[in-house]
Amino acid sequence: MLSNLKIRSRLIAGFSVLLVFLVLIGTLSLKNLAAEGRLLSEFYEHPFTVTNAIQQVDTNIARMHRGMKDVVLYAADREDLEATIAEIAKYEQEVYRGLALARERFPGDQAKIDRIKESMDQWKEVRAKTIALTRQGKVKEAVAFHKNYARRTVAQIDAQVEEVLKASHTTASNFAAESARNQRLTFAITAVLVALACIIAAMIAFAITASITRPLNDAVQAADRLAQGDVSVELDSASPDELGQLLRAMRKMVLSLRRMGENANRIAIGDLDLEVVPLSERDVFGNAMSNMVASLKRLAASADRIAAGDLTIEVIPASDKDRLGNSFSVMTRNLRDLSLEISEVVSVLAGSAAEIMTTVSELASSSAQTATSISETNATVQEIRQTTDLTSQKSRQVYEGAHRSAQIAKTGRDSVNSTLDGMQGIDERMGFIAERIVNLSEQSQAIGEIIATVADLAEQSNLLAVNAAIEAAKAGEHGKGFAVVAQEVKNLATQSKQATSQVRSIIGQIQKATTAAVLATEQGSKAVEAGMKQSSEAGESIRQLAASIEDSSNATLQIVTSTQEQAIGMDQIAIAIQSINQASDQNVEGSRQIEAAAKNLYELNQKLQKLVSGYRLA
Amino acid sequence: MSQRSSAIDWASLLTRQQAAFDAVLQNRHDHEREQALLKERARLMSQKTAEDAGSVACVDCLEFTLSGEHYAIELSFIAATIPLADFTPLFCTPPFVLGITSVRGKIISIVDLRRFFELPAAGLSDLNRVIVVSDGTMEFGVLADRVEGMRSLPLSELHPTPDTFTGVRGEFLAGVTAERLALLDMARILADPRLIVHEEVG
Repeated sequence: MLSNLKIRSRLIAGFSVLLVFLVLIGTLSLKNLAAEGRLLSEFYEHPFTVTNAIQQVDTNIARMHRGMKDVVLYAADREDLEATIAEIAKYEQEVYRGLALARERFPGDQAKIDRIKESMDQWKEVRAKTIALTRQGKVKEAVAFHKNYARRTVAQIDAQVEEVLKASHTTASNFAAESARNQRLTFAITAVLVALACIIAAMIAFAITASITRPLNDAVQAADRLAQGDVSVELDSASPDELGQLLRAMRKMVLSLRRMGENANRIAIGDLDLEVVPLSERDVFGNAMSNMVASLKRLAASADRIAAGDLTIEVIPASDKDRLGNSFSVMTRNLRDLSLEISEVVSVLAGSAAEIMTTVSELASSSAQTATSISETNATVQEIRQTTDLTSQKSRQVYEGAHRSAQIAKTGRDSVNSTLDGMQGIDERMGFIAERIVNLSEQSQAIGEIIATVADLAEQSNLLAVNAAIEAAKAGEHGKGFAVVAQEVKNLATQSKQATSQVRSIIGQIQKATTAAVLATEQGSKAVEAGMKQSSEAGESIRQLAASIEDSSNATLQIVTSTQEQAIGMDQIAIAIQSINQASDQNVEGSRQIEAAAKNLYELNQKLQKLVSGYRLA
Repeated sequence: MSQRSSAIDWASLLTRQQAAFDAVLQNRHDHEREQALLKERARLMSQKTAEDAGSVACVDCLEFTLSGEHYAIELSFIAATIPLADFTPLFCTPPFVLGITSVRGKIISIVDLRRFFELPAAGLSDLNRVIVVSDGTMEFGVLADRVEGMRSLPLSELHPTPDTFTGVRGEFLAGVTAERLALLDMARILADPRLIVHEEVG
């Protein structure tokens, strides 16, 4: 019955039942709350107010009684008396007002209140009489009066008030009992209703949940298997609700996936003849599959043409990420480049083969020429060998000649050395002569000095002669003879002077002569020096000559040994040429073989060219 | 080296040297001849003076030169002739006082007559002489370029001083010979107050 309804209807029905229970419980609770409120207000209106008012009345009566005592006590002071009387009047009014209120609200017998009022009226008369007595100054009388009447009246009033209070309390306790009864009833009803609602809600929830979760579990299991790629899952439901619809849609999906899998399998084994029709415009799988098939067909066609040798095709990749397309494009490009390079290589190879053939023929002819040259060289080497022998002989002769020359040079050097010694002796003698002449010159200088002294002496003698003549003249006649002698002395002095001047001139000549002699010896000495220098130069030249002759002698000795080595070397060269001759013969044979190899290469190249021309490139 | 013929003629050289040495030795021993020559000269001179003595009145004087001019001083005034060896110039004296010198322990002043006679003054040398004159009271030295020697002047040959000799020069001359030998009036010069230097320098 429940599974024939839709899930929505089931949920609405369940929640409706629960709502009915909720309204029921709410209404009952509201009703009880209203009854409780009414009871509370009744309680406030009547017993509570009356109790309050009566208690107030009791208190005021007590105050009035105390005031009357004050009136009697303070009767002497007029002012105090009047104030107390006014206070008593005020309290009295309040008592009456409280009694009025109590009477109005009292729920019991109102006669009790009226009795209190009557007692109050009696006390009022007693009070008035007491006050009048007090005003008249009859205080003692007033006290006695008051003592007799007032106390009795007040006790009566107190008893009556106590009775009213009791009645009021009884009423209040009745109200409280009613309220407690009401509450208990409400609690019981509400508890029953809540329990009932809980049981019904649990039942409904279980029923609805069970009807939804069973088919949903079937769907979840199917979806799990699908997620793992298992398309063999079988699903069916006859249920008209939403879950039945869901299961039927899943069945359709599984069928579609199965078809798709079959198609993919066929593509995987390379069968491109199948036709994939997309189920709708939004069928992503179908579209992709059909595109894939088309793309693979295009690539297959391109591969067919490449296989046929047509490299002119241009493969355009479907996108940047199309690895197969890109690879195909790169492959065709590379194949094209490779074919081009191979054809180029083939042409180069053809040229090279031709060049090798010409080179080989040239090599053969040059080998023949080499053979002729080698025989000529051999003859030449023989001639050189003979010449070397001759050279060796001649150089030995030269060596001996150089040895003799060296000995002669040594003799020449000895002669020059003795010449130098002789020159040295001459130089020394010359020096000696020059020294002696200079000595002579110095001695003549000394003579000159002596002569000067002599001239001085002559001059002094002259003066002396004059003085002598003067003295002679002073002596007069006796001095005549002496004057003559003085004159004679003077003459001698004059002659001495003349002689000294002559000697001086002779000394001058001697000095000139000695100077000339010294100069001459100096020149001689210089000449000797030059001679020595030249002799030593000659000696040096002879020494160098001897050295160079020595060098030549050594050189010729080396030449002699060298020519001997040369002769040996020549013999070795002759042997080497023999080897070269043999090698040349082998060369000729080798070049013939190379020629044959080059011919083979040429034929191979022809074949390669034919192969390459099978590819169309443009 | 081979030209031995052009070498020095040693033989003739040695001969010449020997001759020269011989000549020197010969001259050294010729005293006798010298003495004879001197005696002969003395004899001739003594004869000559003997001839002159009796005939003419003469005045004996000493001839000397001063700036190229010849002067003479009477022998009676002359004490001695000395070489101008060394003298001490005196400051603060008139220009004609050359200085002072010592003659045999006596200090005398030297008078340069060239300043008096306004003659050109040549430089002094070792050959200059000083003639010491004296009249017993006054004594000083007269500077002379050269002393010629003794001379006897005949009084008849003396001429009075010509007018060309003016001033002091004229005053101090006794006479002039025909050979332009001027005889100095020594007595007057010695007495002349201008030669006495009395000067104070503040």
